[in-house]
Amino acid sequence: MRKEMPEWLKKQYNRLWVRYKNQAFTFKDVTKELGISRAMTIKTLWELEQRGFLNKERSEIDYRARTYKLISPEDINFAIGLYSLVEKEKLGKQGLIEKFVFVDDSLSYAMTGSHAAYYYHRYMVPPRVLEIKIEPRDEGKWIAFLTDERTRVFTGDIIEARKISNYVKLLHSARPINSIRKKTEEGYYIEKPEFLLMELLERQTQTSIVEAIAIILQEKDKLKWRGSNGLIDLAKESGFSRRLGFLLDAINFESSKSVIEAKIIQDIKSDFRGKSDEIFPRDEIFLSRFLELRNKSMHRALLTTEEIEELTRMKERFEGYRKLSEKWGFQAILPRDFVRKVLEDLGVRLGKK
Amino acid sequence: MLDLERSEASKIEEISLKDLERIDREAKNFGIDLILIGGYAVRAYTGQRSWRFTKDIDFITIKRDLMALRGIFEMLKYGFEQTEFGVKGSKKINRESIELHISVDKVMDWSTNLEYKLPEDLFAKASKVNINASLEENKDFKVSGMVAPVEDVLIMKLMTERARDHFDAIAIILDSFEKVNMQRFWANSRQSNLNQHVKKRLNSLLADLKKGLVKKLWREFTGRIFIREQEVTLKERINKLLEKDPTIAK
Repeated sequence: MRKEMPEWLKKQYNRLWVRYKNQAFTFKDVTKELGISRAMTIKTLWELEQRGFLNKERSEIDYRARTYKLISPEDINFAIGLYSLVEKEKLGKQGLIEKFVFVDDSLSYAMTGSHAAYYYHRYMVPPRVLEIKIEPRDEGKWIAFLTDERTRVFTGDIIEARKISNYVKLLHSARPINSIRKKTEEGYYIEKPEFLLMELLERQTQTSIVEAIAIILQEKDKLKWRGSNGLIDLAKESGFSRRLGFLLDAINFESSKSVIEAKIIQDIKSDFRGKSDEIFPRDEIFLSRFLELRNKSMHRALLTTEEIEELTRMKERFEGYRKLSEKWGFQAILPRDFVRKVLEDLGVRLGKK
Repeated sequence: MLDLERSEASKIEEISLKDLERIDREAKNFGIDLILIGGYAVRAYTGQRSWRFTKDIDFITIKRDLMALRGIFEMLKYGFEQTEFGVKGSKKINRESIELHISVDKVMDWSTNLEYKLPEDLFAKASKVNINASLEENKDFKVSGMVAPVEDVLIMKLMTERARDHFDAIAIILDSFEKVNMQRFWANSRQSNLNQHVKKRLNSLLADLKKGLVKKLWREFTGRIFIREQEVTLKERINKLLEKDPTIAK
């Protein structure tokens, strides 16, 4: 991957940097500022983007509308410095993971999201987007370092129609990166499962809940449950004790045995009192379906017998864990079939429905 | 999938594809016709941008006695378990596993308890399709199999309450709509008494589009944005499907 800039590109970059620094600009701005043709503007922006010296964002409404931000000269120099350390024969051939192994401690990061989850559960294959938690100040360095022919780096939503092998999404970490990560045998850093579980419980999408259940099942004997940075404390700190306790209870309930030690669940339960108006999970699709059902229930008089029957069946699906909901003091709308499917797929023998 | 996972995944994909072909061939020797559904069928009807990696193998058949397949299941190290819906097996490869299911006569859905009865013409309409590997390392694999017609795959995906299946249905509608015989789609939905359910699901997909939930679903499974052009196309096509529902036409 070429990181060095030809003289003409350096000139254009410098002029744009003097004018815009870290501010966003458009295609038209470049044409006007540099006084160049449309074709030359395309070439300039393309050459900068290819090298990772420019961050491009597309509009969600109109895919063609783009804004650009330059990566600072300091961050570019940092990436060029790192590249200069790559052995000549490996230059341009490094895969994404090799880059993470290579960067080692030069930049702090921890892989998170579905890819990190997959590392632990080996169950549901993640999408092509790799999420990494980084220090906010390193954003430009990461874009300049990771971008190459096969990789594009994004700081927001990924709006890209071109076929690219690797999409990387940068996320800012709320905690010091060093405290949340561990090094894998392969030599790259990944979020520790306890912190990752908090991340997944925070997202509470259908995918993240499946991933959380799968990690708990696959790693239950290796997870740090107690003590500082243990799951029980982290959940308490994050306000996710109910969510975690409920999921563990649901796993035990569906398998009709203590897959998770009962004492762990008791300890989580003792961490809070009273009820909450929380609905779990707040997955927007689940939530929308549930609220639809609730609205329909209010107008039962207008429904046919058949519709009432279906409504009842659907409501039962979302309220299958009524007792556990009461125990954990919130409203769980997680369908039982959802939990049972993961358990069954991962070889946990199920109890009767 | 990342480079490192890819090397592991490419091995699994290779094994899964080889096993798929082998089981299909052996089954034929015993006079059992197997038709692919599930992830591999979805792959046959979707473009690369909406592919999701799959390793599990799902077949359907109408032959009730599948004991003849026990030998091949066991030889390929899947084990062999008879279930109320057919047979299943699972093969461990390091920390991962490939799940193999063969359903007989019907496909049951966990989330709704609904069932899709295989239509009589399913085997006649199934077509031999080249199943492409999703990973570049396996691109030279030339595996082919009989895949269920697109209408049946779509109904099976719309039948469930799982978001992952709805994502697959959306991808099929976007990538293979021209292959969908709408008359057959509704006739087969009706035959399993699923037409009302399917109609509701399609309408709820339209409502989800309005609410921005389809965008969220797309982002969740591809990590990418669902662009306006896709939104417009999906809406048009779902409406076309709904217009062809004979109960509405009447």
